[in-house]
Amino acid sequence: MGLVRYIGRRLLFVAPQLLGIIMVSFFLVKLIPGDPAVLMMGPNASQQALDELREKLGLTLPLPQQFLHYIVNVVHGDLGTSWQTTRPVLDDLMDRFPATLELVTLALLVALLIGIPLGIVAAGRSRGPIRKLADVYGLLAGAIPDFWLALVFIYIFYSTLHIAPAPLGRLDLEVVAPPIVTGSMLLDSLIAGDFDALWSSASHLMLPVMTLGLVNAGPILKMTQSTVERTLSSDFIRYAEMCGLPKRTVMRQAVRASLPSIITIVSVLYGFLIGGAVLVEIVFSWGGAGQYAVQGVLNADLNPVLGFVLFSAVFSLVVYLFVDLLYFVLDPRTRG
Amino acid sequence: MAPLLDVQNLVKHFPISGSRKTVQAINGISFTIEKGQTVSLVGESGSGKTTVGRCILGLIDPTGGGIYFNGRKMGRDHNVRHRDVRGRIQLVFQEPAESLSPRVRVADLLAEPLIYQGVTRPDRERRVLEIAARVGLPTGLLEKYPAELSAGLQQRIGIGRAVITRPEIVVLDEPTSALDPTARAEIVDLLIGLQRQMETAYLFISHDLSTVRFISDRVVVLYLGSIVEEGPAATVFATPRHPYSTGLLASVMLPHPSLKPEKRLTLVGEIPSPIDLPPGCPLAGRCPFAEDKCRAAFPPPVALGHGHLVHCINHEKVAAMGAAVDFFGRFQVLADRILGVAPTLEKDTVQ
Repeated sequence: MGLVRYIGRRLLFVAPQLLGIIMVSFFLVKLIPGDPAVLMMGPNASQQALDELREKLGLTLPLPQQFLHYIVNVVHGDLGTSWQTTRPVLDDLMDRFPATLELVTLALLVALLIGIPLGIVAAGRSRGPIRKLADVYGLLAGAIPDFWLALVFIYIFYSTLHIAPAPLGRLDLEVVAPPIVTGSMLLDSLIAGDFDALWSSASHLMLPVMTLGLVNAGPILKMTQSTVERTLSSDFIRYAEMCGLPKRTVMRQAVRASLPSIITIVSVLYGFLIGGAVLVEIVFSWGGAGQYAVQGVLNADLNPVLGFVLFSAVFSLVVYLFVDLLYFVLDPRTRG
Repeated sequence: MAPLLDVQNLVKHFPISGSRKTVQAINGISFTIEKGQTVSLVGESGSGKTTVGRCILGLIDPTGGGIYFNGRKMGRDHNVRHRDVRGRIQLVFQEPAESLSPRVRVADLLAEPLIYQGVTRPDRERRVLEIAARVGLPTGLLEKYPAELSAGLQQRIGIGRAVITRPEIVVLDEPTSALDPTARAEIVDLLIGLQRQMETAYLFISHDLSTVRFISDRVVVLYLGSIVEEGPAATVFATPRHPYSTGLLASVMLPHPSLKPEKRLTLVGEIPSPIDLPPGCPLAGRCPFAEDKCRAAFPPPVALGHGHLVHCINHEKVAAMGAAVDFFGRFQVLADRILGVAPTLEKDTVQ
């Protein structure tokens, strides 16, 4: 009924949205200075070889035609080839995107576990130690860059205390990766029953997840606190209080009324982190999708960049769709 | 017998964070409300009207003074949240949309205060239907959400929710100021009708003076947290004796060209900041009659008979200005003649 129609209507808009995103990113990427042919052949290549390569890559065609070619290829599932890895971009991303996704998802969970409870508790009181803690935390999380925190963590937990493994990828070198099922190292090793891999991947995840989680708890904390605060001072909560409701029940009502705004900021953060985690990925040599895309940008390797944008866009759209469905559940008004 | 609600020397100061100063919202005001009576608090924004209402409802704790409900002092362990008092003092808010939880159906909004009184579900359902009919909410709307209704209907929910517990007193915090004129008239009619049926007392907080004139038994004029004048509504409106009340009344426009005060006592300037008020009459800075005595101490009340009190040493000068032609009385006579009905006339004669 209403729900199915709603989802159908949403999906109808996905195709034009994606087309728009690809178009914008395609032309933006083409603005990046640097000739792929020169970078690929090296500085000593002859003019003739360069021309031939340009011809082969389709770089001599006018831009709109290049774009059309790209779109046609994408529709057929071909995202092009990366000249750096010499592999199809789709395969590369299929390897790397899950790494980023696992990192970002866990980090977001940590951020939620810190930000939401602290925000709710801090909203309920205008002074006191918890409120102070929340204020200071919000300030620090907003001020500290994640890559710097990552370096500090590596210094403390790897170099000094020797608790954490070396910041080099997702597994110890001597551990064999479990067969890929979900793409998540934790889940895959659980499925394979490989507890060495599970332990190794968990310990490798530890520091980057903490880094991203601690920093990104900041905005979630702030958003939760301000929304719940605003709801608590609204008239309908005052009335509930006046009716003699227990404080806990009033608080639950206020939090429920604040959930949509909190979910919105979380969903935006989720989409943002896919690309925003790149500095942390680099610090921990994570081999994720963000790192792959940045290398592509630096070396005028355009297909990985476009592929990454496409993947992130699809991911964000899926998250937003999911969030809209959550609103549907949470807010009876949208069910009309 | 003790009055229904007795407010004695109520003081409320709000501390300003990061400073020793305080916002002096209420500075020792006293008034009483009897059973079934309507008392109005009037004054400009910032005069402390709403704060008085909030103190009575226990939403904020007073700094000093006492509020007695049926002779018993309200405080930390005896307030509107307390089992014995729950539902007996009710509140209607200014903004109907904001005072109704947006994700609760109308029927459940109406039933909400009953739940915490321990009324059983079938009883609640029966009373919701009864109250909905009484406040003019069609049964079809009970399944809707408040955002789907107009402001006038939303305010009917707010009023229904307040009277469903059969309260002895309802604090109406500017219940009509967010509504358009037709909805306002309907809501005022509804309030008057409900009061007749249920003998509820109203504390009507408003700056809408024309409504106040027609709904109130007594009027209390507040200025910067102090009562400057109080008395029977008809008397205060006909013969205001405080410069502030006179100025306030002169600012009301009545919808008839002949009802134009000839001599206006206009107050210059804005309402001053209620932070660290000097001693003396708070109006001294804006009053044309102010003398040194006014600035030294707040004038004691002068009784003018029939419970009409004014806090002004120059009240005779105000009276001598002749500004006190009873335009509101004349307007009512005019309105009654034109409309042919007299919904509030009977109330005045009862007094």
